[in-house]
Amino acid sequence: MADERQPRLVERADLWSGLLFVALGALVLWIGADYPQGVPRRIGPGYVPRLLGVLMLGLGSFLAVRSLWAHEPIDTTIAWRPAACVLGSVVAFALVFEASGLVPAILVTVAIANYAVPDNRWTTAVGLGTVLALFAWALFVKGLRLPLPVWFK
Amino acid sequence: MTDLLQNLAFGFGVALSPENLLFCLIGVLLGTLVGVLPGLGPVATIAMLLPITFTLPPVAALIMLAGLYYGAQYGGSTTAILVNIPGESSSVVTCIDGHMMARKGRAGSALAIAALGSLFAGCVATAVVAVFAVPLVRVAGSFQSPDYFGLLVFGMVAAVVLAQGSIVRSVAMVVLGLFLGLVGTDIASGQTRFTLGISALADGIGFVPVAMGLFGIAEVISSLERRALAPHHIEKITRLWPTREEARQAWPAVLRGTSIGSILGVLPGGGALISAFAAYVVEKKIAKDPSRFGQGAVEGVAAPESANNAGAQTSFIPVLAMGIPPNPVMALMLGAMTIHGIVPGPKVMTERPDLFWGMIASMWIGNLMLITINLPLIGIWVKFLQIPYRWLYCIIIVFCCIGVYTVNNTTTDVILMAVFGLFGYLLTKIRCEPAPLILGFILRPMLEENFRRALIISRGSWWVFIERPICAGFLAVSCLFLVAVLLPGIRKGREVAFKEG
Repeated sequence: MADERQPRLVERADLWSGLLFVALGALVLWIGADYPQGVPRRIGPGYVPRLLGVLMLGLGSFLAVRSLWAHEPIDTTIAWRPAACVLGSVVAFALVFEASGLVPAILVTVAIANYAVPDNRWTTAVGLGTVLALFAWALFVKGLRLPLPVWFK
Repeated sequence: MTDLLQNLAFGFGVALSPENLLFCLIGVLLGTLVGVLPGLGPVATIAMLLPITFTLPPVAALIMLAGLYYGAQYGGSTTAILVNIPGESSSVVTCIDGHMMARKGRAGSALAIAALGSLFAGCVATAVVAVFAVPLVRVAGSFQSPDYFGLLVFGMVAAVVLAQGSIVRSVAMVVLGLFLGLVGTDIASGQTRFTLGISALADGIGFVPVAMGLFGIAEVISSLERRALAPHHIEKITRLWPTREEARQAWPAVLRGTSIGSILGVLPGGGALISAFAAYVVEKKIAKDPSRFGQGAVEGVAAPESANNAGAQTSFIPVLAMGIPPNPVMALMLGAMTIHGIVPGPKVMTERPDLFWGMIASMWIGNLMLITINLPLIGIWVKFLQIPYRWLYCIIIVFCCIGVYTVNNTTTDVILMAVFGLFGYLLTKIRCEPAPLILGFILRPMLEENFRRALIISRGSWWVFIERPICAGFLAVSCLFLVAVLLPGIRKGREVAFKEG
């Protein structure tokens, strides 16, 4: 990597991971501050979290400092559309499943996930959703007899 | 020796019951089916198919899971050879020469050599597991809390050192995994920790949503980003058997690969991936004409394929004997065992011999099935390869959702999976590997418990970790590993070793 163009400081992997772990470490120490530490011979619930928090803080600081001369770059592109559709479809599964059941949840999930790529049309979603809903119903509900709600109550 | 044979006979008795045989077969077939799909490695495969084992009795469930694992592994190699897409990281090296063989019209022999090499490696590794499990369980039985603590630390350090990517970032990921593992209620005191007031988190974050978020959902987003959508070119299979010449070249490589894999699989941090890499590098080093590698050298397929199967199998030893998973796949198997109410560790062998020996025997049977059933079915697996990814990812998402939900029958886990999917995707952006996180996550209860007990034994003195020779030994070797890898010379070597792949 060294002989290629050097990434700017804000594009370095160590800086970002360093900041992430410093923040996480600080958060752990802050939230965990109230947990009883106990004494070393009988450690309390806060003892190990504090150790881990300090470790994260230390490792994070080390990474952040090292980023001054470690040049490994981050990947700056973010696939917004796939990320939004994929994550959205998973969340939708949870919500729709809770409100109704397996079949509507699968249909909605496929309908949203479908649009993660431009090549898929609404017909793909309908076809794929129907097949998957039928298959999942046959396999999990009929075949494996898992106690899943199938349809609106 | 007679003990060993008796145990194995008992194991085969369990594994050969028609019911278990059937579940082994289903596992192998389903594992191959999913493993063959590009972009789905063994971790995602096992996580997705976990729910179908829930209704089974524990022995059958574990046999099926083991079958899923080999199946996924084998399916990954098929994809690597035929389309040059590694289904999983351990078949990355198989891509190089395997795909070149396929392009030269020798796809059939590449597949057959991979399968035959795997079968041989599987037989040897099964024997290794059977022979070494008993003494290892005995050793583990004499361990006390500080020793376990040392061993766990050593396992995590070794995993980080032997894996790819920045050491410091990987260590930090292990620590993060340890932290995520302790969200929930502390068993010793009953105090809830880091639940942010969310009552659903009082029972802790489930292992399955974390694993499926990081390895399933995040991977889908990354694949879509890499534009894995284009239909890929699949090489034709003409003749399924290797020529005499190819077989002659392959045999010594299979032997070497098997020994390398058997040894590296047992090491913490070892397993299929590192075994395959090491075997490939060794073949290239000892070859008379190293330039053949990358051009379709038979040894370049035979050695890593044997090694990854041997490594995959012997990595069951630390899980079965001590309850310590050496890699993410085994962490998942351990998680699955816990779901089935089995606490892996030295006690499994004495308390559930049917499970222990039955699973070992089923490994061998599973390998035999791979070659007698899977290889002839190659045409069908190729058909699955032709499913376009723009359909496939929707199917993966739906199965991940159902899979996660059915573990605890709660949609909270589905939401958690989405959260970890996002987190995993962002982590890969800043070049942090999710695998060490999973390892820390799964080892946290053992680590904290043994740490706590060690301090009780020593009346609060940290010296206990240095005074006990076994523990001190593990910790010293761990430090040595870390220091060694940070030395410039060895660090270069490590980077080269991974690049060779």
